[in-house]
Amino acid sequence: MRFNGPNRTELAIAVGLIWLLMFPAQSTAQTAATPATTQVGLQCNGTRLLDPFNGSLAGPNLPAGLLPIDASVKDKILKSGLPCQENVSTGAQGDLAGVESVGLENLQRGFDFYSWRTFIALNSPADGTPIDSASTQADTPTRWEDMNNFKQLLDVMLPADLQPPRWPTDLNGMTAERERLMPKECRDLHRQMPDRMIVKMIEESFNEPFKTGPLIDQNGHYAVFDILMNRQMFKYIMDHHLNTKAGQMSGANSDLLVDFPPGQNSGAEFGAFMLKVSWKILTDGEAATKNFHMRKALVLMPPGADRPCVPETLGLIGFHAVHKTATRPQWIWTSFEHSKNVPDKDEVAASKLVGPYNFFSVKCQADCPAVNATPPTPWDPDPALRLRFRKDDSFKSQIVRETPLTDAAKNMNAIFHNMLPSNSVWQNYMLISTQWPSEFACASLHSHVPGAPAPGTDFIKQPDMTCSPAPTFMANSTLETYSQGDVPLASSSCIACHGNAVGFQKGASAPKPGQMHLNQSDFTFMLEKAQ
Amino acid sequence: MRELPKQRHDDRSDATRLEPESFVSRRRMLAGTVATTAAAAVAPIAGAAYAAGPDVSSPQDMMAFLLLSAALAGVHVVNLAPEFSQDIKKDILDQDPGVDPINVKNDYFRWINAHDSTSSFGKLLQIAKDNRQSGINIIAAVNASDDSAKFLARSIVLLWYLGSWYEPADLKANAATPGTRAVTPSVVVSSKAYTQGLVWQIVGAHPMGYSNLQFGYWSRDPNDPNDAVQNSNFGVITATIP
Repeated sequence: MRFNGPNRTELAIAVGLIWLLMFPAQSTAQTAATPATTQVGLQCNGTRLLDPFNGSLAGPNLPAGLLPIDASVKDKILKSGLPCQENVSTGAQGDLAGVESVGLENLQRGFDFYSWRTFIALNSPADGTPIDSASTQADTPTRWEDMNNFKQLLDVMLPADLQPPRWPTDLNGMTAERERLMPKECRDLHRQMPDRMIVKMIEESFNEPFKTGPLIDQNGHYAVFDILMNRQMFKYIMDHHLNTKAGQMSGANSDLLVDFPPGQNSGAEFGAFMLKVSWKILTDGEAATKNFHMRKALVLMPPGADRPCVPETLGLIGFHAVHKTATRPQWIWTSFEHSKNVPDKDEVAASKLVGPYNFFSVKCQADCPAVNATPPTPWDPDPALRLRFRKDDSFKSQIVRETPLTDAAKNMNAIFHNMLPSNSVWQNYMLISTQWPSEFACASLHSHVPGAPAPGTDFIKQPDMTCSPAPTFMANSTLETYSQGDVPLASSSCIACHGNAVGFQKGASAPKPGQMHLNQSDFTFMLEKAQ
Repeated sequence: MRELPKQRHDDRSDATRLEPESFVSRRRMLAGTVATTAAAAVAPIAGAAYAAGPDVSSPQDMMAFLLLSAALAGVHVVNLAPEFSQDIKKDILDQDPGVDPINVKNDYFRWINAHDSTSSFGKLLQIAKDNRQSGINIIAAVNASDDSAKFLARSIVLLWYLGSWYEPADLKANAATPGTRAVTPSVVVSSKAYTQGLVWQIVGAHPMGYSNLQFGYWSRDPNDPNDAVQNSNFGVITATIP
């Protein structure tokens, strides 16, 4: 069974209210309900919009005369909304002169353009104003933070003794659901500070992938991670009872090939979308600089005998946006981070440091931790210390970026920074890269077997689902800190890693001929969090 | 006919479709040759073009390397260079070998060039250029070459299949007295090469310690790499050379 998308009536409403849909009324997830009309979640824009920039971006310098970007072009891009699907080509982009010498570079350029559009769309103000409006501040709630658009994973994978999650379409309903799931440890503070975002921590909220350890900032605090999904993904999970272990293991799911709906331009289908973000706990001084997109939050510490709920100001430091599309069944993996997180390895070697950095000390000489070393154990947060790693702040991560950004990524960043207001907080964020499946003798198998479950992902004859990710390796310094590099299988590759994701579906103990019994969960580890 | 892989790269409805690159068949190679008969008929002296040595950045040298490798290894060019896209209007040597994310072909080219102590690599590339219309002729010409070229060719085959480098001199010694050596020494060229051996792709397995294969792949019959009907991800991998 698949998510069928909106019916005709809904589509008609959607078309009629396209502007409002692209800039939905504010219903910020972590704020009290306001009497506003609510649209049914974020919508995407299915209109093809190609990178209009003239000249090659793959070289060390931007093409002469490219900047500043024309005001009309800038306006069109910044207000284009969330792309439903990538628009890429092995040849030239929108401007015929905007061509790279190598097909792979043209494709990467198309994906990086898509990524920046996605970043802009998701981080535009939740109240519907454009990202470049004068009213946009560092602490302006964004669209992805709006509870109408994205839902935190831990509000979906609920304990068995709670009623299943709901995602009503009306503001009062969403607010009621939020209150229902408010942790008891946070309720008093929530009453005092009702506008604060709620971040619930589990081990994955502080321990990096493969349990490689926490990331500790230069103030001695943990970096905090959070995972969210959009309505389309939520609906698929609920339709198939994948929100509980029992549901996943049920007989009804024994033959289910988990297959989230893809985004596509045709019909403006949003498709499944995941977010993983990283936050830094800001000091008052850091908050005052307004160099971070920041939110005041109540952070519920990981489960334990004592589980404090801590009021903090969080600054955004990392942003993974992951979108399944009709032509990229391995999803598209976009990664942004704060430009002052860490220096590049080469910059350290050449002493070209422009600190301060969030996770690297330029002053540290002989007594600093080894570069990219995991912290000493124990790693679990001590409730008594709130979110400080050690009472004496004896450890602070000393992190460098192992793989510098490509010239093409740097140039794309420069272009988008040029389009943003000079005082925009989003000037401080940069695209690391976009990873996508490049091997189409492989990826193209996803929709050619008759009778394959909708929307057609089968891979029955494709044992390697990764389909040659490009780039082969990609790491965000805050989210894959300890698995940077280029060692096959050991270093971070979004697609290669998530290709191993499984859920709790029963395995192939007695496979039937012609039927698949794989524990694949369609490139998401979310299903592992079912309780 | 199902949509070909390369076409999926471009999502534009009005995009010019490239000639399918998936099958560098003998028919296509021959078709390309028709347009270049004159050039092929005036074959240059073997090795003469390589006074400066083979050049990895030369598309012609890279295409020659791919043709040579495809003939020797018995696989499609596209399995060696996934982003290769053939334009039948052009001589095969004037094609763009493409750049893929892994690009192991460039690593191998450089490695061979650096480890060829006999200047045989240039000779082999020239053989491929001179016989670009026929894999059979490439093989025959290699077999008619001196031992340095022949054992370098064997090293190249092993490199593609195993990701490891066997010195031609060791292979020659082993061939002269077969069975006398317990182990023919070899070196894994790189971590990338370790993962890219054709042997793993063809048998549907993976090297120790590295696998991108789908969870549960072991519960299914392996693909027949020559079974196009089953939509093998390699197409008819070994059909280029009869």
